[in-house]
Amino acid sequence: MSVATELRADLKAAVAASTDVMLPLPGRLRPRAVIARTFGFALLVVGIFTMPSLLSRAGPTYALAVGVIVAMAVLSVSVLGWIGEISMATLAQMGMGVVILNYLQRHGVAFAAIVPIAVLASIPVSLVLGVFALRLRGVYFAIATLAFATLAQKSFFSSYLGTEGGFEKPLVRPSYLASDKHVYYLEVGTLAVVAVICYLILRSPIGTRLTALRDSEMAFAVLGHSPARYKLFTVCLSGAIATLAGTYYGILQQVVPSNYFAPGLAIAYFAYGVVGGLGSVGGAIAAGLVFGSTPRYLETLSHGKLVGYDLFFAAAVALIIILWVPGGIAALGRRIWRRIEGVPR
Amino acid sequence: MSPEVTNYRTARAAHTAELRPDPEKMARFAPLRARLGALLAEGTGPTRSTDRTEILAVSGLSIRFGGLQALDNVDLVARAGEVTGVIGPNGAGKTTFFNCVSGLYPPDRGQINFEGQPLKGSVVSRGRRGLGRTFQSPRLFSSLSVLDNLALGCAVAESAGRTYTFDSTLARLDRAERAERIARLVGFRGDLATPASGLAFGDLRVIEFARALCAAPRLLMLDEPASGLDVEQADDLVALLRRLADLGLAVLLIEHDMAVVMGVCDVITVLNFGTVLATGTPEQVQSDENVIEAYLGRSA
Repeated sequence: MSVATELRADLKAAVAASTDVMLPLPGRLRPRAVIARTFGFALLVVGIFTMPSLLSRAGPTYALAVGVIVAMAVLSVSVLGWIGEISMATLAQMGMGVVILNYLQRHGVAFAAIVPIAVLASIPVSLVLGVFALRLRGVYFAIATLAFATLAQKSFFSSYLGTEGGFEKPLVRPSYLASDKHVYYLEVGTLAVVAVICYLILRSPIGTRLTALRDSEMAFAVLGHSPARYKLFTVCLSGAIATLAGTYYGILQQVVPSNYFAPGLAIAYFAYGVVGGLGSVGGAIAAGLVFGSTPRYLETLSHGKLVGYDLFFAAAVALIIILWVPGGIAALGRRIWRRIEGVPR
Repeated sequence: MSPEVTNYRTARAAHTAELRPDPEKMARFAPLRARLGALLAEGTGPTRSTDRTEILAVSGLSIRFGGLQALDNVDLVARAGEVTGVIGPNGAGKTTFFNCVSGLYPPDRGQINFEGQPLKGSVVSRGRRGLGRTFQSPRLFSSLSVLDNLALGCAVAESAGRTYTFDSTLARLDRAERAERIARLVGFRGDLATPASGLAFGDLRVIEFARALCAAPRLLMLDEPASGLDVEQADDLVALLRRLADLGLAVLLIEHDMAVVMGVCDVITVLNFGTVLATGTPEQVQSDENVIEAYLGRSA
């Protein structure tokens, strides 16, 4: 093969790879795509509502509810991928959600009001992390967030949550969230709203700017766009999602010891994000559901023999996926979906 | 003589050859310049701007990196309607100079004025004030399409309330039309929906240049824009730079291709080891004793 032919092949591969991450250009959908999308959406809605019953033989709804929370946390990691950053503070921000929930419940605030307050209260913490993001990049930012998470866990969470979740007053569920199934439906509804918001942001001019910032921060700034503004926005959005996940985790678990937010676990969540396809909304949710729910179902199906093997399971699945499809679940999903819609390669 | 010295002399000699523009290449640009001149003279083309306002005035600019004095007391003026060349051997401080002006490096000393006002503040604020630049290695937003790359430039022009010095009619067009017109102006013939990562190297340069133009700059700083371009694209670039300058844009050009530099620049500043060796018209610079000595060495 000549050098020119090799170069052309490389170029073709590069274009194909880039097309994978490109957002589709707006245009009229083909009838097959319309049918596929309508059918897919209907299937998703039916699946969401029937999943607790369908999987009841494999385990309790609790497993699904945990999966949705992990999906939110992984989405929070994935959102930071929009600006090419890696955060190890996701679990610390989830912990903040639990603490805020407990604090507000002790002061008699209704759960419906706590959720938006927790989201707003996440902003100051996110701004602290945002300052790191303005000064540091890549692995340095990751280390800074890990340090932040360690400090939060060792100082704040240890004293506030204790090692056995020893709140002065335990977290209580409101009457309309008495069962795990109700919590699950609330989580799914919230996750759907968050996913749509993320999707719309990615499709908007803000999304274009975030992609540009990730590709070349220097060119972005020289052109006259502010990297600081978009970085802070993304870190705050990611933090809000993680805090929301933490609030729901608190309401689901009711007792949350501080070791649930061990900083080292953030590495696992980051790995879930990579397996989902960093930056992807759908991939992050899928990865969260797989890694959050499946180990719990396996525990039930194995009659408790697989308790404590969740990270083993996660590592095995992650290894298979990233070896098979380096773009993660998102790339795999896109590939399958294109085939269903009949999009030519 | 040691091999290092021999190699150094050989490299110097090669540079000297670069300094003398190839007559064949120079001849190539002659019809382009004549065509543009004719258009301007006939009045059928855009009106030649007579504005020669000082857009950028740099005085005493110095910066040191550890033990290396990268720029030492550099003075330079770029005027509207002129192409100002910055030349010099590798390591002379040309790109460092661009980085200081665009705010990427804070200078140790010196004053930079832009449109009569001190140029201070962040890289972003300088971009919004009308300081456009390209890079030695093109830095496009590779995950975005060509159109999105250009539209991001147009968005800055809109939000900063800037007008296009080189074509006032552009302001009336919507973002996509404006981006397309500028892409065609710089000679891009491809599909604007193409992902930037799929462009050939020459097109990367051309689109980076177009993106800077989309932001409606007052001063355009180009870092080796002709490198990697084919002969036809380089010809078009020279004609375009001349045309943009004639329409009132200030252009600051770093370039190693001497045919391009001599063919398009009104004023040239020669840098060597971070200091200004000479400033003048192409003819003056070519005959300057200091420049010849620096490029040839005493023994030559």
